[in-house]
Amino acid sequence: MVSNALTADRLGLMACHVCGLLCRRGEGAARCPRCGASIHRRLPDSLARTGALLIAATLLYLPANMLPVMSVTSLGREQADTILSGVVHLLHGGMWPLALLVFVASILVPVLKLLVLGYLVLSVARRSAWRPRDRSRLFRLVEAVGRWSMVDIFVVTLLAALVQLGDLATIQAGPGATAFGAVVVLTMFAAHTFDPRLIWDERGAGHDSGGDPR
Amino acid sequence: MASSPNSLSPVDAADEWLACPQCDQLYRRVPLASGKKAVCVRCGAVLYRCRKRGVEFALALCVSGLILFGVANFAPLLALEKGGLIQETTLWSGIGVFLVRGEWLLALLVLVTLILFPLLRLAGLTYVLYPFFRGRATAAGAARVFRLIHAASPWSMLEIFLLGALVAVVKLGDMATVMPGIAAYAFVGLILVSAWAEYVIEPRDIWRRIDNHG
Repeated sequence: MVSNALTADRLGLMACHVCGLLCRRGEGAARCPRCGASIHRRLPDSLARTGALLIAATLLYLPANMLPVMSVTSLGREQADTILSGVVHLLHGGMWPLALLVFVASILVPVLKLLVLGYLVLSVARRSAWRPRDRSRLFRLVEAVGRWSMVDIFVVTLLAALVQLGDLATIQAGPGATAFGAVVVLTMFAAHTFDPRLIWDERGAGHDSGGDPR
Repeated sequence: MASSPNSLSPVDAADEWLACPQCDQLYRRVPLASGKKAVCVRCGAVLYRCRKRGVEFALALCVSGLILFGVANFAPLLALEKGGLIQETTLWSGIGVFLVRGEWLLALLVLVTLILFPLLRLAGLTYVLYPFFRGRATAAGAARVFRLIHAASPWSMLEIFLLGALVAVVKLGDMATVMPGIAAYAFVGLILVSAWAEYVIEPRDIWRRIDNHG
């Protein structure tokens, strides 16, 4: 689509990842003269780091969904819930808007995030030129939405903190909660280490043309 | 920093140029009408915005946020009533429950996302903005503080916690009676004020001011 873009990189410049200051490219590791952040042409080892974090997150995704995230002990009866069975309970209780919300935040978003980031890493590794604008959008979406998966962790936190009524009722966080929290944290890091500029890199040189922001 | 061998030199008139953070497309900065934003023509990312409100408004929001933060942390958040037993919970007692049970990963997650990073953001912004408001020189280490804020902001999850609290309260509905405490209202206020402050503050403007004063 766009092969004639004038990028900072083509002029031998780098923009600081943190404060955006444009600098002349130097040798070796360097720091931004304005904010002091380490500055690179592109995020270092972006694909390898994102890929590794995604693999770790995918592995943890299994215990996160199979182990109970919390267990309710009420009058001597103990009931353990996984994420999915929690959604089913909400559905049976007739609270389908909440069930939908938890389903989207805890099941749909993490899966989509793993798939989308995995796809982006592969597409960049294969130097795909397919719809870079849409891939950029996809990345921004995943980056913005990923944090919301933490909702379930906070639900468990609050329930476990609140329901401490001894024999009457006690709620405890299960091992699945830790695994799920780790999945969310790892995928957030994975999005953080992915450099979206790679989507646009290496698509041939044409004639220079600056751009005007719209 | 300027004398270290690896320090880079910014481009001439660095204020006038910027690269899209998502695709590296180079742009000359154009002044925007108040309330408008500049969007990258290539990848669609937002480049910068022009905010209607000034520093004093943002600062006022941060200071109110700090006050609300104190209330939200130490006043009772929710009270649970079942069979004549009433139990009050604060944010800290929730963390305490996790620590007692050895779930230190969950305790850490809650501590970081609901207490440390939100506080860091509010206190840091107040520290950086106050000298601008008084027309003084930039605060010592302002660049470092603002860089920390940049790194911490995706991990500050107050609004997600609120959604989680909603789900938790509904889930408890058939089990016990839940009453919101003062901290619950403070939390809602804190989230509104924090989101507003984030909306009002344009990081690129702050960076330019830090640069020009420092």
